[in-house]
Amino acid sequence: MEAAAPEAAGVPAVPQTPVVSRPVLPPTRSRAAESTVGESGDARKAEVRDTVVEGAATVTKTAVEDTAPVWRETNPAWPEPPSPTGPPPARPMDFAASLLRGLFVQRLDPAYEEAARRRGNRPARGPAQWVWLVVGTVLVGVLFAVAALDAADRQPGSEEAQRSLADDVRTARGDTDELARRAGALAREVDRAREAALAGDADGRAALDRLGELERAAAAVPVTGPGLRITVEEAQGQGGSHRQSVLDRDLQVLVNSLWASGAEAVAVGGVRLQPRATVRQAGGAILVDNRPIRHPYVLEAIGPPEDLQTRFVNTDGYGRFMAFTQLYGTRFTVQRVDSLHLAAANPGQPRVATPGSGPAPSPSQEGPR
Amino acid sequence: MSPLFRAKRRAPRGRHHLDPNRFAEARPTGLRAHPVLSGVLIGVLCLALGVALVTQARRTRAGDTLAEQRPQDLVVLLDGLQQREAALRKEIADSEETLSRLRATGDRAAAAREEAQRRAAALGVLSGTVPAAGPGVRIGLTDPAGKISPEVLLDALQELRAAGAEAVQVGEVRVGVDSAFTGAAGDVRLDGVPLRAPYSLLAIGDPPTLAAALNIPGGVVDTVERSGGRVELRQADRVEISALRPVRTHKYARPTG
Amino acid sequence: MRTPLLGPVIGLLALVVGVGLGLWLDPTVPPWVQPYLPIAVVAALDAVFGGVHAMLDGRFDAKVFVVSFVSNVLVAALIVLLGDALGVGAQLSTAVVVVLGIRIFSNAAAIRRHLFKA
Repeated sequence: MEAAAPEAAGVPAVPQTPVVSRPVLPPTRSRAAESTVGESGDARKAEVRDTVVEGAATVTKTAVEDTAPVWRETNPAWPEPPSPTGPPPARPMDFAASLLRGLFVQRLDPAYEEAARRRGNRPARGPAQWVWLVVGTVLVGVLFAVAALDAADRQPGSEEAQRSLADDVRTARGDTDELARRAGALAREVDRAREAALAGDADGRAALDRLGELERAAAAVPVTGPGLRITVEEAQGQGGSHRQSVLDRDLQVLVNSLWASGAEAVAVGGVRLQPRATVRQAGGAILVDNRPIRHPYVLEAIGPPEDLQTRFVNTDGYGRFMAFTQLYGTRFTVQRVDSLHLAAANPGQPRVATPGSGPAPSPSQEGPR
Repeated sequence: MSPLFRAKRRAPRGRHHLDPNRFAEARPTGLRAHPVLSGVLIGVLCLALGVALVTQARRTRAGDTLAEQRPQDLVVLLDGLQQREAALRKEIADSEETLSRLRATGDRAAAAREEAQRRAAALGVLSGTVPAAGPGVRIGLTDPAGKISPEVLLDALQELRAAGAEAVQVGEVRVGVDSAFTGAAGDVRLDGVPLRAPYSLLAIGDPPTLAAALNIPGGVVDTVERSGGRVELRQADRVEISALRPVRTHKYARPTG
Repeated sequence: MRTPLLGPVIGLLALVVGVGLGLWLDPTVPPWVQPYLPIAVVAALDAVFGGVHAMLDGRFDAKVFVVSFVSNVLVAALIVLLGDALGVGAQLSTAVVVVLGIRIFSNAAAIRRHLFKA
């Protein structure tokens, strides 16, 4: 805002001075954060005075002829003078334009101009100059060094840490994926070995049936069937990123609504929900069963297709996300699918809970770590 | 770079009279004397720009969001992954042990039966088909104003699960994977069964962790107290959960693999 | 009009001495100063570029340089301090950096024109 001050202040004071006729000073200049607090005011006043004098002196020259050189001198990158045939109007409406112009004009700090003019445009000389120069540059050097040291000290606390943490997360993600693959392969092997050992007699088969039933109930078996696919896509934010208006609890409510509508199996972001799974949030990321899932969020639910949809559209979750589409521009689509495939979840082992209410803990019990 | 620019800018410049000092060169010198060379240079620069644009655009779209996450969020992510890693390692060790037992010489069928029973018991505890006991918390939520909504209880359940609860009972209903809270404030239903205030929750897990999960700022305790209720939370060495869920037979979800 | 080469050389030497001094002393920065250091550096850069521009223009004045440097740093820090007090510290730092950045750029462009005539 300050950049326009000379013009704004100068116009009522010296209404006669055509802006274009300043031979040295361009129409506008940047004033933000320059000079001393005390000095800048003085400098400005002095400048205005100078302008009046010089303007008066040069008014005899053709103003229009002068315009172009001044403009090129101050900013050759500027495509065109605002108006080559006349002085740029100094109306308040030009405030924004002159502010921008002032910012981009390549000209010397007015303090230097002023000092040079006071010396009569001769280079500054004398021992005091060297003292000032040395003092100033030493100060600058000290400041640079101190800031660099300080930044180096603090770096580990911010960006460095962020980067190494992100690397850790990437590594951990790879590790757990690999471990999950191994665990899955081993579990299948155990299943086969168990089946081979038990399929021989009726007792064994009964035990296998019972186990299979429980595994299905605990989502430990991959399943396929008809159902709904729900896609939640956040509105585009600035810079290609997505706004984050959908939170973990919103997705929880959605999942709750799917169960309430009669879903038999649900997966969020490709992660099958097992009895202990949760939908949580870690900043920008949504974790399902401790696994980060990707945007857009896809929920898949297997159940009676017709019934599932009619009941689902009457739930709180559906209503909430329909409201989101209007409030935040979230895209929310519910699609009936004839055949969904949901992976198996891994419910794991209880660590402290033991079956039954008997007082004796079973030998397989694992104490808390 | 700059001579190239100047070469391109010469035309508009010509309209104004030139500063004699800066535009003294009358004959073309440097790059301007070699149109081929300058053309090649322009081409190379444009090529580099194109490559940079495409690379950046692809990077933005690929969205490895990790780089933009705040450190504290990354810590949470890492924590979750580490928990999962520990669980997986334990599971692998268990599976390996089971496998060696199943393959050991001797009465394989008996060993397998015993193993199947153990697994069935574990799954039964988690899915809610058998009673469960262990350390945990007993929670009572009073709701004098009738303002506790199903979502608050859902939130409580999620917090308990996130804190590692292995078995949960709300009122007289055992919670399973497909449990759902419905209804409205003052008339909350769990799996269709009406719940009555004060709501009682039993959860088996590590008691301090479970208690901490409910007490986080903005968590369940805060929400309940804001709606005029009170939360009574007791950690216990032994909580018994006796409510059961029937094993649900799936009609539409057919096992595969 | 050209300044003798002595000025820039002395300036550069003094800058190196200053950097050395800062590294050698390694003063502990009080925590309340820390947020203003980056802003101060940007303000200092502005003063330096302005000084070099003036030197090339033959209008360099060492006193103006020192005063503009000190005041730049102080005013920039003050603006940020004020912003922090008003709860818009981040925005005001951005504003200061943008304005100073543009000035640095335009001074750098002027220096470039002087040095490379382009």
